[in-house]
Amino acid sequence: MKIACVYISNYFLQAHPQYTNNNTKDAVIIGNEELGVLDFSQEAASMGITYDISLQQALMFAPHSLVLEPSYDHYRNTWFKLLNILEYYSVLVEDHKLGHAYIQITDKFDGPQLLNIIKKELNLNCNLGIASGKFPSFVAALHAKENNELKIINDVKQFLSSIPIDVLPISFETKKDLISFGLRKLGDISKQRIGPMESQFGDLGKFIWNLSNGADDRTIVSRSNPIAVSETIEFDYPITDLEIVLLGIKNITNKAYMSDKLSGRFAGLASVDIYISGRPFLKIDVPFWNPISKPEDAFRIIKNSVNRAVFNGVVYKITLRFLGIQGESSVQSHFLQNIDRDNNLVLAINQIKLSMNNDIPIYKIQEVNKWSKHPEERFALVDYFI
Amino acid sequence: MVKTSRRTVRSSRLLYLNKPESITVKNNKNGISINILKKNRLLKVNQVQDKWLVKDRWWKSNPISRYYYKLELDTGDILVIFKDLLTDKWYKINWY
Repeated sequence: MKIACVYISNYFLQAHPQYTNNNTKDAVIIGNEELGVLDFSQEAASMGITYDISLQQALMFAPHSLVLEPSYDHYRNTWFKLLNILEYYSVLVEDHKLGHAYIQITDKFDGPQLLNIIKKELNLNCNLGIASGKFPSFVAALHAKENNELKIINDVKQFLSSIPIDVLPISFETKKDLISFGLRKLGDISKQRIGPMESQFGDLGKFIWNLSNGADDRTIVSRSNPIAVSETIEFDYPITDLEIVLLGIKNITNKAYMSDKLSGRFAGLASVDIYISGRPFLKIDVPFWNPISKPEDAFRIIKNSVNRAVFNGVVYKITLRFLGIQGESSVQSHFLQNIDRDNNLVLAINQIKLSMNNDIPIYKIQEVNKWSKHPEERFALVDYFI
Repeated sequence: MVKTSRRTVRSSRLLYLNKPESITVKNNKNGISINILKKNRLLKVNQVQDKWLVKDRWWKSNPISRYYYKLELDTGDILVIFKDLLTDKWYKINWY
């Protein structure tokens, strides 16, 4: 079994709509005051910017840098498009995190073609590492020297021996412990016997030893449930009015939620294809933060995304697909989860009160006036009573 | 059994969230460009999607008179701002 790791360095920067369009050579920082620094360009890195500093500190290092607000909707949409491309190459695609995915491949896999398509369709430079397991393929992708490079590893143990232990998927504390034993590279670990590693670190030691020897039997966790519900509406005459387009989407959303596959279940993603006369169809992927079981909730979020999309021309057909369909909705399980959550909350609050001598106000966020015409009056902090 | 935390909410204890944030707005030939002073960033407006007037509580001592704009920025993000017609000042607000 061969696994390919698709790794995009500086994903938040590369996928940012403004950065892509500007092609600026100035130092660029992605972040805001709340988040701090999320990502930054090579130029910013050369000025001393790192991930663990605040935006204010970053601007002290690089005062003339361009600061861009993170655009999460865009990041997720771009990522879903990339995962869709990967699904053309493999039935097993793992969505590890934004900018990092795994696919299971066969001997016929055409790596350079995949890299070209990702570059052409999404304008993203990504690295591709191919090896016998997830970990070595990730390290291979990480150590591809240039963007858009394909790195195939055959002698895994030899390749890993010179790699520092920072790449291991373990906590910072464990890494510190490994260094205190003089184990700075994966080769240092693979030279040890498995016994001492296990006796020192338990099961984790065995896991680390296996990874250092290039043995990683973790399988690919497929990204989505293959069940999908699809509905289409074709208009009798071409439509230019957005309101009618939205009405059509509302209609097929309700229809989709009445189908056997989706009724009483939750969808994780909606994909809207809007067919425009004389142009390529417009694809809008709408990921839901939490899976949705009600058509009206799904439509509200889809409507927001469609409202944002810019399309000129006449619409003659709309196709709507719901993906990531999961579990039956169960009132009982949610009820129990709430009790668990409430119990934990009460415990945590009591501990805080004890440690602060019962002298702190505790608030919760409450929707106090849902229908107020003035948005600032809709939510408020109110006293939290146990 | 967890006791209910529900009690009557007293308005004197309410601390409203989502308060309007003061901004400065410049009009130019190409449309509206917004300078959010707090974060010292210039946001460029792609188009005005919607605008509407809200007049409320005119019978009270704290009347509200606002002109709202729903804007699409060049990043694709949606922003709702309003002009307080009583003070002539601009504010940004999270609408949803």
